[in-house]
Amino acid sequence: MRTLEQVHATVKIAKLKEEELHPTVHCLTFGENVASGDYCLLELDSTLCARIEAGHSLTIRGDKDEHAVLCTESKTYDLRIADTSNLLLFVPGCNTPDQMTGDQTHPQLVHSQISGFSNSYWEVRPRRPKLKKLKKLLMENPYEGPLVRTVEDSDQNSPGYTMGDLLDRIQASEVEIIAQLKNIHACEIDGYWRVLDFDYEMKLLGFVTQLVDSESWSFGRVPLDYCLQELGPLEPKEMIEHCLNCYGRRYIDEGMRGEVCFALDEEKVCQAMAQMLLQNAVKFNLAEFLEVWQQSVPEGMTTRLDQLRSLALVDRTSRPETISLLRVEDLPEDTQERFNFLFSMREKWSEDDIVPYIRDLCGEKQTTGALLTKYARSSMQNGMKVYNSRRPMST
Amino acid sequence: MVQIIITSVEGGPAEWLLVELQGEMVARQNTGLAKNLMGDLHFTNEGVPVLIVGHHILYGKQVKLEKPFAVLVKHTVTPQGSEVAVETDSERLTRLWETNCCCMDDL
Repeated sequence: MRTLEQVHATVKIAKLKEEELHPTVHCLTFGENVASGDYCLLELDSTLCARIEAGHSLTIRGDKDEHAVLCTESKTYDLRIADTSNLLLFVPGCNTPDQMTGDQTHPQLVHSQISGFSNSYWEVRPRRPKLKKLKKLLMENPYEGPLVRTVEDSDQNSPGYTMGDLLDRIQASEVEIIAQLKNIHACEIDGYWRVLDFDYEMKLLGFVTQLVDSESWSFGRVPLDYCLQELGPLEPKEMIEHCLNCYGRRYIDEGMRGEVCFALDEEKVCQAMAQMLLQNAVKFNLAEFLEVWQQSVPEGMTTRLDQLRSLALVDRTSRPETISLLRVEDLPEDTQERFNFLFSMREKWSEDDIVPYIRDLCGEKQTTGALLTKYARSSMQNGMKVYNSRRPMST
Repeated sequence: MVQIIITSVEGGPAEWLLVELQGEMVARQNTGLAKNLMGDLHFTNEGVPVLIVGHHILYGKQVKLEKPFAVLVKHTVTPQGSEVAVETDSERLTRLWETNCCCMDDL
């Protein structure tokens, strides 16, 4: 072990003046496992740093063919390796003069070990979670109601995925996964997350809206208990309530002895009806569709084309004008692939038409305008700004 | 899919020092770096770091990192009492590395 005398001898040979130096010296040696490669450096932003200091864990998720992501409970980050041209050594328990306490007057030798070194570190950058896989997994076995037993059920295979299973497969944080489960109207049945078969979901919604009609209720005030009572014989009560939760907002009517009621969401109901009509044909005559659509929604609700942004696309260049189903959730998740797909569908897009289909691609603090600048080329057509692909597309 | 858990100890991990050097370090006698002396780290009274490595005197600068780094330590766990070794890689922040070493001895 190196001694203080040896250190001072070296200082003399180096022609440094002891009186100009702080009395505490650190003698650095390489630790036993310094070259083991078991260490790496992760650069943190303030959010991650705070989580770590509070004692929370982070999770890295990814399949062999995917870029790894880092997740907290609620956010997802891209992970990339950054090289430096310098060597980074990490030394535990080594204080700089401003951190030193205790006796600062007498010479002291502190032995410090270098635990490891690296010439690269991991960089993190916040990203939107990769959630498209979630619906894909749950669609392997959609729930069609209690009477239908699927092949998987009877084979005694797992009928679905638990939250743990989902966390094992989806590159997203738990909070983000839960939010997406709500978006796709999934529900937990016997501990497994299930998405409803669309026809079954419409059947449930149909029961509810028919009851609202026959009771002449306002669709803003649908009493839960009465609903469950009347519809319970037809479908499981949990499913009726789930439908109300998906298509309405729950509240307590203080006026009526604290009754639990739901206010049906006009936009969501109209969207569902539109999807039901549009999914069975490649395209629809727009004028005819608008008429049938209005008739299909409950009394008192008004359909409007802007309710269908990111759900359907209108073609105003064809004669007659047509409308077809195009759901943003069915489109590619990768940004470049999404733009390629949209431009192969239609060569030129107006900003109004394309924005609903790229809005979900925006990262934190990114605008659709920025995306369009990067991934598309703009030009003027008939006095209107249109966007087309930056690269040659085969349509 | 792989899930690698990065755990941290309550109260947060300890603060280490990062020393950045330009160039490479090579052991003199091809013995490898482990357990060898690296050098003496001095600070002048003005707080300038001075590193004496072999015959070299390196002057440096103390800088607060723009973004903090976490040092991750790879930790492979074999549960006791199991017939088949199941390996899960979990990375723990530096505060725990002493505990990890104890575990390895026990297994």
